[in-house]
Amino acid sequence: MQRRSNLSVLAVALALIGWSASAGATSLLAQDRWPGAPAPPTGRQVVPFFEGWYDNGDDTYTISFGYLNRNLTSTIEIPLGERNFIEPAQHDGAQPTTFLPSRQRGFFAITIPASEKDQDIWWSITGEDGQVYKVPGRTSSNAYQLDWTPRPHGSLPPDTWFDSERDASRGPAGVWADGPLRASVGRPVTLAVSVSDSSERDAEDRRFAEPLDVRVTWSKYRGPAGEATFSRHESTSEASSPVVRPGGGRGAQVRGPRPEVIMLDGVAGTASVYATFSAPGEYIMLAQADNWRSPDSSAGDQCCWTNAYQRVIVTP
Amino acid sequence: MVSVVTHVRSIRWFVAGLALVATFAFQAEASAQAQFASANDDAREVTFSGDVASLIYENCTVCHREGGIGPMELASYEDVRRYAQRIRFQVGNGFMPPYAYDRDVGIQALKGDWRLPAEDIQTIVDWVDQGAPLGNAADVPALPNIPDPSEWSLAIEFGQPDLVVRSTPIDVPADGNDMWHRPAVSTGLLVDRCIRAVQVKPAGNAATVVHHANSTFQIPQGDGTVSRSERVTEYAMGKFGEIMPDNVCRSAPADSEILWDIHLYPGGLGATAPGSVIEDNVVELGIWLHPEGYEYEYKQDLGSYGFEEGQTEMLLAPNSKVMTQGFDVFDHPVRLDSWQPHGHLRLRAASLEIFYPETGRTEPISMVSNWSATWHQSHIYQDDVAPLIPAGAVLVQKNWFDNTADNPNNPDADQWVNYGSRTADEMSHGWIAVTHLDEEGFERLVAEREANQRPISD
Repeated sequence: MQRRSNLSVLAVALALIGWSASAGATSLLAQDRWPGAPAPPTGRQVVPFFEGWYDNGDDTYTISFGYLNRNLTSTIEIPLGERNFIEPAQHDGAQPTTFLPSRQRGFFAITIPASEKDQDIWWSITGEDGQVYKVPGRTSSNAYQLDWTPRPHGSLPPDTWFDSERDASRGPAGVWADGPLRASVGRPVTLAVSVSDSSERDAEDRRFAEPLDVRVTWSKYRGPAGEATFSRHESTSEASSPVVRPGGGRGAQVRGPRPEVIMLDGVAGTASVYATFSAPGEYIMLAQADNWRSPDSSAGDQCCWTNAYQRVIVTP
Repeated sequence: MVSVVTHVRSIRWFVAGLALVATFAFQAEASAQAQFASANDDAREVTFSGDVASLIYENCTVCHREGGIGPMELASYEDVRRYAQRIRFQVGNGFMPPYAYDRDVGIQALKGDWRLPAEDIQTIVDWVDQGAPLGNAADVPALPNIPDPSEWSLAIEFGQPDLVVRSTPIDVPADGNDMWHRPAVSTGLLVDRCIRAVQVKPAGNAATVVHHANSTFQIPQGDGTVSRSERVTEYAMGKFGEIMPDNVCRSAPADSEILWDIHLYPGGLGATAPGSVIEDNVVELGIWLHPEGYEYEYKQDLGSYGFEEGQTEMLLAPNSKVMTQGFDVFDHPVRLDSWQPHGHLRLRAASLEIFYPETGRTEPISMVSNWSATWHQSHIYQDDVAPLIPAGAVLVQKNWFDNTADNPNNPDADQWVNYGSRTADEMSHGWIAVTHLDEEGFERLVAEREANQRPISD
């Protein structure tokens, strides 16, 4: 096969040109730039995304949200409040304040009773440019319906739990640790979450002759502007470096091992990491356990992962 | 360079295994403008028996018959008269037959072109405007022998396929998320072969839930791994198949298996059949092979090439319209044998152009102004006009997205949309069949074109 020119790599930049818009404050991507202008590496907006909705089968519905941080290399902090809020107000506070680079799918979810099924849930984020980017979560469109059915090769969101809260959960709505951890600035604290994969796969398929690894990724979800840095826990081998799967979404920008990304061999295990905080305050740390090594599961497929949230109170 | 073309009405290919009419909204009827004039005093008398029946029977009845995928039957005068105004609208605006491809931009000589010639469209418009008369009932032609739509449509030209590879069956709930089924199935090929034609066909009810089905050759290794070979073909809703030009080889390797990538999408069936399951969905790959030892000059393959790169950056704001561009360039001359845009519910139009850096010229190749995800047509260029592209020329695909409520396919105009696998997300690329030439072959083909007065190169 003859090869394609390397020039193609230079030539494939995708131009995006909005030629009309009519959604008021949410309509333009960047009013201070010409359509199609080259994107700057920083200073770009964070856009909230509605991922879809689940019919839980018990007269409740779950609305899943994610976001796109168009700054492909920098994390953005947007505190709760007038620049980052959810309406109706009863659901405000479920959203993150730390926005990792690029597209992050299904970072949180809100479960509502059937009586609120027809009410939109709006998430609004105001960029530094003053533009408001908002999105409605709603149950009206079949195209956005998600489900709990095992995927074609058997994948399910991993069962995930904290030792403090033995009940396992699956999916974006996830599980919360029963109580906060306590730490002090500059001193590492252990974050740990347990995972078990109940996916049933065809053992005669050579791809599933051995159990697939489950990946757990820790990140800061909410907290003061200070940083949370991670270091390897002694229970995790250095070989457990992240495996970046094309289309896997989260971690796609990663080069080399990261201690906060832990590959669990086999169908069950505990993902532990040390976190060190640079500023006092109350944090929420997110562990996302995914099954994206299976061919029927990826972030873009909207399956299969589970969110687990751990509060950490950091004192000076 | 490519623009001297003539309309060649090709063999009317029968539509088989076409998909998913019910799951997407039809074209924007409210906003469309009729392209063909109403009858005037000078219009000749047009009758069903003398003029219209043969057009309907040859171009519409294959889908619009009992058990067909069309929403109504068009198999008799009474049927056609009942829907005369609707037919006038659909045909007059070019929505039916469902082959969206602009008549006034780029190459018009296409293989498997379902478009009606302008004079046939005008005949139908005039007939409806004249009151849809029957004419002499005795002159109404009999229904032609229309093949079973569940059969291979390319069998008319090539007979039954030499090789059929079926995916493993999978159940799809009518409610819920898109699914991706990726089984690997052996081809049984013992020697390397070249593909003459290929068709992908959802079997039975699978046509209602298969959004796309890509197929790739891979060769199992002894250690449990596989070596990936090249793409067999790509299928998306409405696509009928591919035919390779003479003198090229798209490889079918020995000891290979097909790795399927089947995107399943109930597409709203849940609204009409909540809680149900569409069972045992199977997709079939039919391959017509050249004889063993087939001699050819060049390799041909199908790929999205550079068009896919960068599409993850796309972002459609709520209630907005956006244009994207993708590019590709080859370091050797190529012939472009076909082009098929790919997108989802917000893609409404796409074009393909060639930019020549040495001259600064840009040349239109193809344009689809009324694209729909329901009909992913691969536009196959006739052999004598297939674009010959020198090394270094840039292929430019433009895509226009409509994320407003004006788009009848849009499931929710208030949503932000970016790249993603789901039908509710978007894509922004195209599939091209490429014959990889060398300089000598390129010059020879250009000379042949010039000798035949259908120039391709300045």
